[in-house]
Amino acid sequence: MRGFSLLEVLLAVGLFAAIAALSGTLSVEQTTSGLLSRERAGALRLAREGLEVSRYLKDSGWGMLPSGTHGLSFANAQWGLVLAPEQRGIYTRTLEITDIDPNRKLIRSRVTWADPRSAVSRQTLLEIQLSNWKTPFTQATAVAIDLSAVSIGGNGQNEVRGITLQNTSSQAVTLTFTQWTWNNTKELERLRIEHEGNNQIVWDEDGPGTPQDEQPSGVTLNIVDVQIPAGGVATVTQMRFSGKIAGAQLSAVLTFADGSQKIIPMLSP
Amino acid sequence: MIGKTTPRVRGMTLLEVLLVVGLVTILGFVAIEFTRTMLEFQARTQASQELEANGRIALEFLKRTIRSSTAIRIPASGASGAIIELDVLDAAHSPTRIQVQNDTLLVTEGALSPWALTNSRVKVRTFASTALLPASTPAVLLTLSLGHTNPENLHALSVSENFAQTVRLAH
Repeated sequence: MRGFSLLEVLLAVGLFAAIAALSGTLSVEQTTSGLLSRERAGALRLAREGLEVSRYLKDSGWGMLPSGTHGLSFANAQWGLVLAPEQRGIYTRTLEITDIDPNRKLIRSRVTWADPRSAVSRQTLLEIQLSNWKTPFTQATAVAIDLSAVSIGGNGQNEVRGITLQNTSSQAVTLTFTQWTWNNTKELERLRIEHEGNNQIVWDEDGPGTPQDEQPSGVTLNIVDVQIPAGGVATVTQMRFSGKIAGAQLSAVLTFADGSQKIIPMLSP
Repeated sequence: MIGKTTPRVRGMTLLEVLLVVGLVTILGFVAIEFTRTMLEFQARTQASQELEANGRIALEFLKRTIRSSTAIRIPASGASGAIIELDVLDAAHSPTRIQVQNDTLLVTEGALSPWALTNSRVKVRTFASTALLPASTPAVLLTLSLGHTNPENLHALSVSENFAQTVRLAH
C-alpha cells in the first residue's frame, strides 16, 4: 500500500493549521470587538453626561463656564469644574470651554481611555454650543454703578466727583458716549475720568471730544473712548460746570461700544 | 488452490495506534475547550448586551421623563434616595414615580398601574437619585447598577453594568 507522500502530509498539516489560526483569530477579534463596543458605549455615556452637566452649569450661571480645559467634580449634590481631568474607572473626562462671543460658548466633552489590547489611546468627543439667551451679556450689563462716594468739589461748588463704574465681567468694556442731564441752567465744561491709571480729560469745551463749547443739559457727548478692563474700575474725577451744581439733580445715560446703554439714576450731589 | 495465497495486509503498529489515539485525544480536548469557551463567551456577551440595552433604554426613558417634568418631588433638593417622584405636565401621569421593587425598576404614572422598565432576566442591584443643588437649577444625578438574574449561578452570567447620568429639567 502506498502511504502519503511528504508533500501531501505537509499540505494537510498546513491547511489544518491555517484553518485553526483563522478561527482562533476570528474568535479573538470577536472578543476584542465586543469589549471595545462596551468601552465605547461607556465613553459615550460619560461624554453625553459631560454636555448635560455643562447645561446644568450654564443654567446655574453663565459665569460658571469659564473658558479653558477643566475636569468635573461632584460633591455636596453639586457639579463643579476643577483643574485636574476627572478619572472615572478606565476613562478620563475633560470639558473644554471656548468663548465664541460674550453670549456663546463651544463646549467639548472629551472622554479618553487607553486600549490595553492595542496600546492605543481612544477617545470620544461630543460638542455643543451654549447660548446665554436668558440674560445676554452686554457691556452695559457688565458695568455696576457706585454712587456712594459722590461729592461736590471746586471753589464754586461747580464740580461733581466720585461716580464709579465697576466692570464686573471677565471682558473689557468701552464707554464711548455720555449724555448728562441736570435741572439747572449751568453748562458743562469738562469731563475727566480716571481709568487704567490715567486721570484723563475725555471731553472738554475746547476738545478733546465733541461737540465743543460749553454744553447745556441733555446733550450727548462723544468722548475719548474709556476702556475699562475686566474687573477694572473707572471713576469720574471731575465734571466741571460753569457754575454751582450743588443741590441740582443729575442723571446720565452711558453708551458703550456695543451700543448698549446704562442709566445713572438721579442723584443729588 | 495450492500455491495460491491471499495477499497479506499489513496492520498498524502499536506506535501508530498510540499516535492516532493521542492526536485524536488532543484534538478532541482542544475542540471541546474551544467550544466551551466560545459558548461561555457568547452567553456572557449576550447577558452583557442585554444589561447594556436595558440600562440604555431605562436611562433614556428616565432622561426624557425628568427633562420634561416640571418639578422634582422626591428626593428633596440636595438629598439622595432610592426613589424619584416627579410632577409632569400630563395630569393623568402625575406624579410619576420610579423605584425598585423585587429587583425590577418600576414606573408608576399617576393612578395608572405600575409597569416594569427592566425585563425579567435583569436584576436591579442599586438605583439612586440625587436632586442637585442649587434648587434654582433643578437637575438629577441618577446611578443604576444592573446584574443578570443568573438563576443557576453560572460563571458566564455573573456580569454587571453600571450607569450614571445627570439630567437637567428643561422647565
